[in-house]
Amino acid sequence: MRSFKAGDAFLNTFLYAGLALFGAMTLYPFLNLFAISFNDPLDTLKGGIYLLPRVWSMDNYGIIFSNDRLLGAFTLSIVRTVTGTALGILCTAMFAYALSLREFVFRNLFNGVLVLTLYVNGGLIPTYLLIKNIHLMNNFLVYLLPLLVNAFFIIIMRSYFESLPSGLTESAKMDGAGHFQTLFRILLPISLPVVATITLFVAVMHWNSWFDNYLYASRANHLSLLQYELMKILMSAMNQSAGSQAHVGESTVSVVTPQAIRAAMTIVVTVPILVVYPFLQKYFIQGMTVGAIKE
Amino acid sequence: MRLKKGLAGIVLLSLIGFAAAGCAGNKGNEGEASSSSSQSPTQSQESGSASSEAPTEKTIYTMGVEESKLIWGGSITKKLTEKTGVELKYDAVLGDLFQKWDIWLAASDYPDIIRLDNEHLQKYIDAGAVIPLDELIDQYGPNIKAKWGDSLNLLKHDDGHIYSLYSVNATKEAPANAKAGFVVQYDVLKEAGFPTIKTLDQLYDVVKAYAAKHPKIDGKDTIAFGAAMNSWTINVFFNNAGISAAGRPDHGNFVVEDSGDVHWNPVSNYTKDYYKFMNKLFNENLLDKEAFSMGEQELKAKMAQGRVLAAYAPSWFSNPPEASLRAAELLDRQYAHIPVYFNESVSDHSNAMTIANGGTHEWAITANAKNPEKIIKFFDYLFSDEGQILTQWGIEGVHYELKDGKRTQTAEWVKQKLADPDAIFKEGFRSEYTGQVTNWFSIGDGAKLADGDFATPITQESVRSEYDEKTLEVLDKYGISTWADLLPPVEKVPAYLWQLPPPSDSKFKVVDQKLDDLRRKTTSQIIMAKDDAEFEKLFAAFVASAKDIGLDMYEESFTKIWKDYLAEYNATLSK
Repeated sequence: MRSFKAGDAFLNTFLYAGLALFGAMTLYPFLNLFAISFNDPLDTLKGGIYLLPRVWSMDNYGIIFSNDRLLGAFTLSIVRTVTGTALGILCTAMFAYALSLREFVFRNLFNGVLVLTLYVNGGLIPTYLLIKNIHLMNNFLVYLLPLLVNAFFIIIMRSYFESLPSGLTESAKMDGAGHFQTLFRILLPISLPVVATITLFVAVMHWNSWFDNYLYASRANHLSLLQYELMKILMSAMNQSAGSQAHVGESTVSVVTPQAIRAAMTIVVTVPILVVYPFLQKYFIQGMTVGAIKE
Repeated sequence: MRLKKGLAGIVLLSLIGFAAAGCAGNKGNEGEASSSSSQSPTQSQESGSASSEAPTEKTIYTMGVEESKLIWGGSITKKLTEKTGVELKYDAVLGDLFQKWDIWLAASDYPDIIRLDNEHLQKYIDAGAVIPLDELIDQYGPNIKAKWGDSLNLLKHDDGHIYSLYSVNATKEAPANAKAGFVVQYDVLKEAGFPTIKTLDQLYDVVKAYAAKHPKIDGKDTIAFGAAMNSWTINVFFNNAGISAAGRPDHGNFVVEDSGDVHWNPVSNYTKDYYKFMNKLFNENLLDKEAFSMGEQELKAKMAQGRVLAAYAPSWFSNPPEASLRAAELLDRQYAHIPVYFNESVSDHSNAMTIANGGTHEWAITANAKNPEKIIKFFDYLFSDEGQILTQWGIEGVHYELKDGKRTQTAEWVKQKLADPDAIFKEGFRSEYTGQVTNWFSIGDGAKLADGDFATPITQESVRSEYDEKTLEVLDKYGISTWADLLPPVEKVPAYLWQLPPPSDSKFKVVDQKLDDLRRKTTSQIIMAKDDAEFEKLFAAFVASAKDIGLDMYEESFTKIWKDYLAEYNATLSK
């Protein structure tokens, strides 16, 4: 390693300090929520919770996890995220591959239609009617099918495929590989960076999604997702604190503070999806360096 | 090799995915199948003669609700099914209710019974999605008619039909858990020897004396008088407070004269007098220094810390901080809820109530409902005295018992309620809101049924049983049994001005925004005036600039709205 000059050292200190400060700024709100989520809800009302809880309490989590539907909803959310992401990537890759082939006849037509959907959509009520008429209401498939392909992701992946040297697919073809083999054995393995990126997008989208639950599956309790169940808890906490109208008005137990519940909930929904990041991080770096062909 | 494994993994995953999706999909279909089979009794009933059906035959109706904790299956809801043969299957909407109502309407996908606000109800009426109820009520609704009495016409829409039902207010006195708007800490009253406080001057004297003696509470600066101004809180602490001190009903930012003329309250004499009071507090350093920048959370936090001696804080605002104080065992820092006026001669008309609670929570029957007679009979049962007792008091021997001929909640039930805040949902004491603090078309806390006993469990005894010992002691010193004793009797108003839709033209909106900006900008300056002369000058300047913006036209448009409403209201009532 080369020796540092004084100027470099100064610049580095400055940069690292700046970055550390920026990191702290983005981390702080999260730490604050973490502290509030573990603080006694009635004590939280007094304000002044910063980095650490003042009065340790598991009450907030107790309220959330006392909901017996939550475990089922949590499992279903994971099933949805995993299957939805796997299927989504599969379909996106196949669609993108077809579009990247020069010999594909309807290439321009499909590209045009795809781009069109980026600008125009059916609108809420027509979409609702569509889903209703193809009998996807209150059906698990309503979580998966509409999100299978996404124009934006397909375009990203298509561009990536197109940027790869054409000799790659040609040589595969010469060696007798069919389209599926070319896609799965040759293209996808060297496209891991883009696959990882899209996986992340799709997974987060599936995990955070609650609107389709609200819209299409609100009448089927067994199809409730985690986000939807948590939303229920939050809403009723807010209703209760707004009115304090219960017959139990004066007692301390009935007071639920939405602020504390919201903090605990944020932690509950953030942690599982956060787990995905480190696994994908690897591919962001590795993917770029995979040598594929020598010309 | 590793890549190959990875690929195999992906394929495997997607296979599992398909399998899981298939299974779950089947489950969904099963769910649909079972729900459609559960509706078949309805159909079979329809084919049979409707009149001879036994009430025990169960029909399941879907109902669109906002509260997701509602469940059918508690002892009370079971009893309702037993009595009326109706079971509700709740379809809870989370998130944007209005959007969902619109989608349901567009797709004709609405549940059998639906709760709407009046704006959406009109949309449903226009689309023919809800059915008129007047003939049904005529035939099957003797109790609905009895409870509504002369006011039944209020339910009628412009076309003369009734489409929705909501609760009436039969209360004549303040409910036992009602509280006045101004609050003073117990400890402040104790040091002053529990004086009678009726005027702002008296309030000023006690907090001043206490703050001088105790400059710090728990290591932090004492705040003699609290207030907040950020966002909507300006309306509560700088507007409603003055209206309350004048003993006027709460029409939002407006004062409605007996003549029907509407005035913008921030320029009224009530506001001026109240600002004068705050000006005095400010110059004596008794008003919270941060009052002009704080919001809801900050003020609640300070109250929960026990260092705000007095404030204008209606119970919906002061309840959470007081609960926090009780939890921290700072019982002395809790608040006495006292009506305080500008002077001794103010007569209090602030305890106003409308005849009924229409507007936001109206129950309607949709065109999808089969056999609507059954639903009306169910509603009618809820309006009957028997239904009121069942839904508000519960089941005799379980939730309440008769003591000296009076209904009293049983000790076990009170204990159960305290231990589990959701118990009222599990038992079935809650329904979708009907506009009343209590549910199920209740006639209101403090109202009485035909047997002369209270309609709901909010009675003096029950409210007192939930007070802590300190509160009972303070109440004793004042010779009252609940804070509600200090309130005037209920007065009926045709409506609150804030319930009526405001003018919608763009010119109005501009003036409205400008007036709000002006008020936010000048209020703090006026209250921080150094002496009376400056105060008068600033307030006069504020009124003058409001006039320049277009105050007269603004007030006129509200006066017109109010007078139009009154004319229609009186015409409907006398129809």
